[in-house]
Amino acid sequence: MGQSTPTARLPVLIIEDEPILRLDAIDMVERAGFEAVETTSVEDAIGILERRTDIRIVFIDLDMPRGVRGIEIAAAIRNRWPPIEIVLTAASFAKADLDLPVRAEFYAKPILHAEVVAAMRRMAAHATG
Amino acid sequence: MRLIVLYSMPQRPHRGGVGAIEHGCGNDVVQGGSEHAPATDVKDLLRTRDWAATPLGPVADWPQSLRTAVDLMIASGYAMCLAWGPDRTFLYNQAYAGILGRRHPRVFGAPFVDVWPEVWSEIEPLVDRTFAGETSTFDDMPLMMTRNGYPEETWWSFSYSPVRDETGAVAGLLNVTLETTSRVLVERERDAATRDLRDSEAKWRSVFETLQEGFVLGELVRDEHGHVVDWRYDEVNDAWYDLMGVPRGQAVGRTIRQVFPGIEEAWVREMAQVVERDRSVRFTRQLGSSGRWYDGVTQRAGGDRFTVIFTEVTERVLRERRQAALIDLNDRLHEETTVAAIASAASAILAAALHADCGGYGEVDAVAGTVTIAQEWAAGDEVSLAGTWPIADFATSVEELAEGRLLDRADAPLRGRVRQACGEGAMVLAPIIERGVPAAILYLGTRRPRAWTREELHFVGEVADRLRLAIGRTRAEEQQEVLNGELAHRIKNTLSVVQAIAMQTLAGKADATSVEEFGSRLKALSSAHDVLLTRSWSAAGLREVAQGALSTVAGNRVTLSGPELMIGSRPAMSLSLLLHELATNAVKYGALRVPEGEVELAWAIACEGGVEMLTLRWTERGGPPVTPPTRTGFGSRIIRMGLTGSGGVQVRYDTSGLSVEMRAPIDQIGQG
Repeated sequence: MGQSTPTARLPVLIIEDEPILRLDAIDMVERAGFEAVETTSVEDAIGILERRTDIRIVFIDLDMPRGVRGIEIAAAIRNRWPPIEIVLTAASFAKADLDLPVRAEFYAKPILHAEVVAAMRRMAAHATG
Repeated sequence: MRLIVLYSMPQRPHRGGVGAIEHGCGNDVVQGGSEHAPATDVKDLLRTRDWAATPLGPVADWPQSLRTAVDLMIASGYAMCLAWGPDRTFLYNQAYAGILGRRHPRVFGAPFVDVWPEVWSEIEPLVDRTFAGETSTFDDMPLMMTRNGYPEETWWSFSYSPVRDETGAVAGLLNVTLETTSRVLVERERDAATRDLRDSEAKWRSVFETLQEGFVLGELVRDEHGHVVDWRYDEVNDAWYDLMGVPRGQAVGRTIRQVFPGIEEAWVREMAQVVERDRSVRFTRQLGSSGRWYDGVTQRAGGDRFTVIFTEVTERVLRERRQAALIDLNDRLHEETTVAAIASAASAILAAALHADCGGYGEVDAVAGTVTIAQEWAAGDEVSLAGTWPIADFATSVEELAEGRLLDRADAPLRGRVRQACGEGAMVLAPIIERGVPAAILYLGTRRPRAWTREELHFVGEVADRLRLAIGRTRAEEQQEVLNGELAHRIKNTLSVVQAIAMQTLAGKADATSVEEFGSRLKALSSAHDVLLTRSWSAAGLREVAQGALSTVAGNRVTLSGPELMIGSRPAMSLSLLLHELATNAVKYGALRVPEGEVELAWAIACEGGVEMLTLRWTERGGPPVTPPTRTGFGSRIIRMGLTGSGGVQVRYDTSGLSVEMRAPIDQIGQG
């Protein structure tokens, strides 16, 4: 996983309901030097974002079958917390063609950790800079 | 000179030879002076004849009345003869000599009886009556004459008038004749022409009346400004009445606007053009009031008159329309991709082809017993049938629809909204059965009562069949698309999970590079799936596959060139993994390691020994010097397996850079 820049442990909210993928995502952000904040549902995610105002990056799996569709949550986050950066992933190719919120980045599954981490680091640099 | 006298009484019709007496000339022996050419000029004869030997006596003794009569006669240009005295001594002028033919000059001064012995019995009473003081005339007596060197039929009118002597007694008979040949011939010609005309008329009338085609002789009707506003039927045949559906005898003398109120303007305008431009026009046109089609020719017939000959082609026109509609339908069914669009196209085409007032497609809920119409077609702004209605309103039931037959509801009462929308005319329903249950109906209705013909019902059936097939195909495609999407989703999700498990398993045990390589290969495999998904898994474009495989590792630094080519799913997987390895290798050790390095991926198809071969060439330039690897890893093994997994790969480590050439027959690339 290349160089591990000791960025101040910036929290990244991971919204993923598939346990193994969630584990992997947590592992990925932690090894990249972020603090992983996890949740399995969209409803919880809103609650966390309301409490944890320090969260600047959100990683969302659009394939979550339950609750509101991922893409709508992403749009809601963008509207409610404009400074928050959004990283999206999905297995379905077609979803990449959906209207992504502005500044959101999409990485098709299976994701390459290096790519996603690089994106998060760019966002973190922007958020803290 | 031969003379044949044809004689008939004037009141008889003079048809050639009827009542005629043919008189040979054998008896007419030339008498006296036969050794010399006899005098033929009547003036000479008058002077030289020995009149003392005749009952008239010497000329000097002739009474004044006789002399006057003879002088008058001789001087006349008309043929005349005179019979004088008790013996009816016969005298004549030069013009009359022609009538006598060879009898002249022998009979000059002979008794009348000797002049025309063969018809004397018929002439005698007339002669006697004349001597009794009466005048007799008879007209157009035929006479065969050879006056111009050939026998010809001539006609003469005679007038026998009494000539009185100084005492006032009838002493003679003057016969004034007038040749009427020309008149008779003219009359004959006229009669013949009249007869021919009558025969011809009868013939043509019979043709006219037995003609299968309708025939019209019409005349334009103009307003005071001379503009054509209508036209009148001067003559029509029986076929016309039958073809137009007008009771016999109800058109002649009336105008087309009177016979067909509200007729299309074209029926008047075209006739005016035919007359005004003096040219014939061929037409195929519908009479709106009856819906029947006619095909014919209109021609000018002099003045403001014209003729129309035509035949009904309703069946032909409708058949052609239906055929055109089916072709149109096929095109539309192939173009449209949703059930709604297909149903909409089918109902519109069906309604237009059959001139229906309403038509549409409704989905049947067999459990609820309802029909839900989303797609309808209606003429004008009719009441909409969009919505959900009881099946019973269509005068049918789920059970009846389930039989799958075409239902002709011509006489079944519609109900509710269906009745409002489609009227009380005729409705046809074509059920669409899916898995044994009525899934939908195609309906078609007319406001006015109408008997659907067998051909029309057949047509509805055909449209419904095609619609059924198209809907089945579309549903299958829709389903397949859903399945494909689901499958792709699952595969990629599974690959994600596999990757996550690998990461978790290998974390801290394997080196980071290997873990990264694994993820990258998995990603390349996944990109092939993306391309295949968009092509329904059967085949993918070589360019798209290459772009998908290269983009992650090499971005857009690889130049692609080659023709469009579809490759099968297995070659697509192989190519994805292979290109991923080549790109990874180029980034690590080759041309892509330095900014100025270039990579080209070029492919071409060539025929070699009758086999079409694909050649794919990966060429690196501008990179650091390359050397063959000392170890044969997974990457180089994948590369060596080539496009089909069975070789055909040539790897060259040139000083300018790595180059790889892969070859495979096209027929193996396109499959699997």
